[in-house]
Amino acid sequence: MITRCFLIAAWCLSFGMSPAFATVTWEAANEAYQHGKYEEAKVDYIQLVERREYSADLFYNLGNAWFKLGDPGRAILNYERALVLNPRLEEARSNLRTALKIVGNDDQPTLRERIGDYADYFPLVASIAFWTAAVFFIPASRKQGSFITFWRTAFIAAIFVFVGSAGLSFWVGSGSKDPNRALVVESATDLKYGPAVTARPVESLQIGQQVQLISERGAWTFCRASTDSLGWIPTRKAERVIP
Amino acid sequence: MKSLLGVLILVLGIVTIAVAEPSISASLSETVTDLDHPVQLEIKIENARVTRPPTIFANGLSINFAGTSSRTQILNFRASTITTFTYIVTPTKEGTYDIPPVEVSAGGKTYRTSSLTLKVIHNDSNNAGHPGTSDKPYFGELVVPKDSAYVGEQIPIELRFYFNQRIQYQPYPQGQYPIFDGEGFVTKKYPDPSEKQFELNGRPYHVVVYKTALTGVKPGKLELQSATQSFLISTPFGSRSSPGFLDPFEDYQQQVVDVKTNGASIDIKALPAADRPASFSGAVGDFTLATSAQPSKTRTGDPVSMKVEIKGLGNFDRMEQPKLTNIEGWRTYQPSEETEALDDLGLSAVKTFSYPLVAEKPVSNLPIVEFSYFDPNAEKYVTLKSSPLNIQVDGERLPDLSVPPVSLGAQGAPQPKPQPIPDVLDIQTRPPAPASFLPLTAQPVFWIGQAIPAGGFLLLSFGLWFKNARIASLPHRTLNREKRALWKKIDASDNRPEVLQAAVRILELDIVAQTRSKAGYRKSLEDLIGEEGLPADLRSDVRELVAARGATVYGHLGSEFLTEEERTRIKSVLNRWKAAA
Repeated sequence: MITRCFLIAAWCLSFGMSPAFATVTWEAANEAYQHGKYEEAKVDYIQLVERREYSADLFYNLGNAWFKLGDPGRAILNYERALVLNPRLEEARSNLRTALKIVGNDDQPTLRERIGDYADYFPLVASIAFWTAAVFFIPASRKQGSFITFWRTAFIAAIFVFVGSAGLSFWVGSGSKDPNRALVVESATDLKYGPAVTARPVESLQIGQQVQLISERGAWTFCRASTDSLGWIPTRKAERVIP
Repeated sequence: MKSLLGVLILVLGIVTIAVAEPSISASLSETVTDLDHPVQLEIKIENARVTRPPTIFANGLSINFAGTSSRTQILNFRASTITTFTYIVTPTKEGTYDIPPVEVSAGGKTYRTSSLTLKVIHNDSNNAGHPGTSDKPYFGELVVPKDSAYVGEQIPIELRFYFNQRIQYQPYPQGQYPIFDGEGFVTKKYPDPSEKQFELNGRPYHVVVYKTALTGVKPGKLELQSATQSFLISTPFGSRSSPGFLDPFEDYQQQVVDVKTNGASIDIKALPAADRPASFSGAVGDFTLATSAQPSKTRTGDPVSMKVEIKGLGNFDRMEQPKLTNIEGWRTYQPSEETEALDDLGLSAVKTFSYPLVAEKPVSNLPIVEFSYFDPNAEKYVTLKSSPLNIQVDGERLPDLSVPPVSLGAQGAPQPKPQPIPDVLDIQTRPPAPASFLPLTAQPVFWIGQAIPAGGFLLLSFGLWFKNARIASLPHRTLNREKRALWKKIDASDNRPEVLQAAVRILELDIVAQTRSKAGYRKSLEDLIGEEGLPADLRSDVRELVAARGATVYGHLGSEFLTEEERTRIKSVLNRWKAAA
């Protein structure tokens, strides 16, 4: 009897309770948003994120839901995530600008950060150039033959492209996909000398400002701000860009 | 029946858990503080949607709203939302103060926090030095060039920290910048400090100079109490050395000291309300305006980038985008902005706004840019307008995307235009394309892509090697093939001349095979028989075989028929020859 009760309860949990989560779809979340139910839309989008159905559009829409709910910090974070997945999503870039403007953050990205948005392209270009150079080497290495100058020029050009893109790839590293990159999502965040509210502030961080997480201790995280200052911030005030 | 009851209880339990009651709490980051240190007050509201921060008053304390944050957590199938309102509590005098319970209304009910107590003590650790007290070994000085300014006007200031020449010093921790006490202003980021020598009352000092710019954010008297910078200083014991000369053998005492500057007072004036242009958005300073556009010839629907450069001296960080007028026939979008500082403080800079524009119909002029600012020196507003830029736009008129007109007020009178609230572009509804946060080099597909050409090259290399090896071994294989055919002939044929000829040919082929790899080195059968290395009996047998071949094949002597005994003898000679080789 107890076993039967347990089985029925388990059935209820799997088929009666979980449908609220299992049936959350992209369309349902979008519909909630379009009807102005931003809180509902946000929860639905978060569930899609938790199911790892990552896409640039998902994070873009989630950013919009946070924006409509009056949380520009998390809106900025999700627009950034959308741009990590698709740097050419102009809508996300435009909304990011709007949200940054609202929070008064006018920090310009550095050259390395801008190039870092395209970090995935460099190993791809480097590998294509490498194999192209390898193929061109075969006709270019002959002592004579038709188009020998062409093959040699093409081989040298491919080597240059390989060295350049490999160098850029080494310089930017993981770029925007760096797992330790985080953004400040809450206001009144001070970078402090120690992991305590009473510690003296190093500098004030703005919403949307980028920090590099180094280590965690309890509810505090040691990090490097975009100004290169080192210090501690409450862990909850910054979220990793890579979820 | 009992099982159904069990299920009902379980489902009711889940529903009870899912519908959680709202709750509210208040907390202070510190319960004891001093006059110089504000504390943080947080009001946390769980499971209720509250957008307006509650107003909080407490005698003796200045409580200012600092920001809102909210987060959602899903725990055990339950989603809960926590909204946090943060306030900065600044004590104005010593004492013990009560912060009364805060009331929040949600869902028709009123919730209250518990009251909080903050104790404010007097901190007398102020060691601020002044230039007037220059007998001190170190002191700070705040240099403010003017005593009045307008709201938003940037005032360049200097923080000078003087050290007796016998003191060694460095900012502590390294890279730390001075911290200002006071409120009602913002400062710019510090560039790296400079150092110089300075003589005061006949005494030489090392001076560390930090430059920044200060901006008053509200009208009134701005009291800058002091700025503090920590230094690690090394002070010599005693006074053996002459001033100005460091003695390397002298003992030094190291300590961290907070050096404070004097205070200052600036009268911050409100920007005049009279004659304020509609396009004014807070820029204060002295600016020039320049515009350009690319391309100069386009079609309807194609994007045009219009660049607006504002150059000059002023508060670029608070400068809003200029207003576009004469936008008839153009769709305008949010511009991107970029600021290039022309000095180390960023007071002088060029701010570039890039407006993406799309022509809806053939037009000949770009929109006109209007930018207003307040000139604090002339004490008046200035409006700059760009000259109309020509452009050639061809093509069909685009479909109208304009929104329905906004209805007028009840009396039909035009209402004052509300401040536009920035909005975001709408969501995407197309099917989402899956993507990964893994860097490309961490994705298996990248390495599979590398393995395919690498495998191709490996196969190609193996093929080339195999082909060369085949070519190199061709003569050897031909020799072996011929030898096998000769051996078959020896085994099968009864024709004596034929067998003898085959046996001698085998001997010759062995010699060829042995000397093939040695370039320019060829031996005849006669040479080899004459060599010392061969056993005497084998040598004579081989000679005999060669002679028999000569007599039979060339002299036509002897029998034409091969006996089995002779075949066996020939094979024995060949085998011994092979073993000896």
